Amino acid sequence: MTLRFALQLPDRGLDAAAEVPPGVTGLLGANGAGKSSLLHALAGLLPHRGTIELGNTPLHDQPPEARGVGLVFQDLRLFPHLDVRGNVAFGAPGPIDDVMARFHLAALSHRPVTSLSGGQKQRVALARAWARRPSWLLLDEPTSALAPDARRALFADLREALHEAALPCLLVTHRPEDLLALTDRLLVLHGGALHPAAPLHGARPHEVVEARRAGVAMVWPVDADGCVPGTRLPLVLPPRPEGATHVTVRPEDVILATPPHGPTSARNALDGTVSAIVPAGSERLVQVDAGAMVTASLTERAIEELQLRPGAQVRAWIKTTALRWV
Amino acid sequence: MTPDELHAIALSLGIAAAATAIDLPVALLLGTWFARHRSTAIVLVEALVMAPLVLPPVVTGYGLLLLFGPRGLGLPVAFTPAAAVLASAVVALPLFVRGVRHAVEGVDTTLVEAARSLGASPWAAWRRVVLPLALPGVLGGAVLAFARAVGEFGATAVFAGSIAGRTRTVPLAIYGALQQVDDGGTAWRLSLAAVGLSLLGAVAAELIARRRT
Repeated sequence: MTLRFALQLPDRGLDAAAEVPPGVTGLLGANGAGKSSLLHALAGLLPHRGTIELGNTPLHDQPPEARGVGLVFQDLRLFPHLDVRGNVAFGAPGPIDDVMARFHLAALSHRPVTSLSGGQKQRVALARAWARRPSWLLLDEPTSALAPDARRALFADLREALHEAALPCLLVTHRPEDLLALTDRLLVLHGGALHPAAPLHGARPHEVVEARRAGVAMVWPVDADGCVPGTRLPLVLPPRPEGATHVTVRPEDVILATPPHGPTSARNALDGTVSAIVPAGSERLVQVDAGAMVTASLTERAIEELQLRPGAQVRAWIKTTALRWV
Repeated sequence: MTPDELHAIALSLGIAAAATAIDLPVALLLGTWFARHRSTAIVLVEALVMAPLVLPPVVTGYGLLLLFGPRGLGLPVAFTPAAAVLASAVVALPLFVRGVRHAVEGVDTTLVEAARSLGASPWAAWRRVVLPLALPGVLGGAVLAFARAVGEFGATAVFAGSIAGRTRTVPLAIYGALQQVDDGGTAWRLSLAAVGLSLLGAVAAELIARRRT
């Protein structure tokens, strides 16, 4: 079943519409863009206008308890008067032993949640949302407070659970690792509206447009020769850490130049065509199709001076030091 | 102690217990309501409920007398044990409501949202999250209300009178004894009993308050 919504939160300046098919859709956006507000409105915890439908079932006129959502809050909100088991069982319609096992909580059953580590608390929050047998999921930074090891371990469980369930799931995160590990497609919340962005993983080249401060804009798979599939030239990359398969670069680290081209210190030159120019706050995001999609963040003035418009031939320069392995 | 004195103590405890029991659902309802909502109407209701805290109890008793009298509801309640219970309940209610209200205010509303998202109706969220977390404050309010009911004098004297074995509670019995030239030590013994009971109540309230923190 697909989740479809068109929501307005006038006092927060949000007017967001999207379709979320089964699978994990990453939700990106700068701090304060309204990601949490959007999730709370979808769950029925914030007054909103507009429609929310799961399959053919309208949810927007339902109270929160009737929306069937599995919501993991950014601040977790575990019940302090209940132990681990009591928290997980809170909304569960039946036995919870399988959920306790899946999220490795069986040994912690009778621990008070106030005595748990950050990672354990996050597991409890996920298990609690899972145990209610939701029809769709909203995960607000479910891995925010975790050390890398704990995050990887939780990912393995979460990925498996999400894959099996095949529910529509919106995942808010700031981390490129989370996006690579968990998401099938992306939405960017920017200027109060949602913009779809290309999917992330798989062997094909993809581009990610996102609000700048979210921290990552492009995530490219890199083959054994150091090439981003779709582009002809191998990139000049920093040393590849063990197990890294993708590189990321921020749009503000991409320089665009129009012919004639002189020498520069930047090592990576990707020739392509401007495919779109989208406003992003005080700046503009310029998408360049160079085999892989390259997004550059430019000022309006720079765009005027270079006379950039869709169809223009440009060369995108990226410094080696601006590329980061993930 | 004489059988009459023991009876007065038992009657006091029984009336106070009944008054506290009647106040419990009212205090839970009003305390939650006052904690979570603000409007002019609510402020007015709150002022009315809180009034016995500042009114002379005699005036509260007179008010009850008028309310239940022939020109009011016309119910034959006055000068019965029920009247003593009612007077104590009205006078003790503000303390109870205040205790509940502070306790509910201390419960994080985001936990209620979490409960709702997990399928709990507003009532279920209150019962399963708000009430357990507010329980120490609710118990504290109950102890204070009970203690206030045990000590109740003015409203009871006006509305329930001082009928031996029916409405003559410890404070009324002490007052009655003090009116006599020689009470045979009744006032002294009952006063000691009252002091003992009050201390017990204060200790209980303190213990509950400490458990909360």
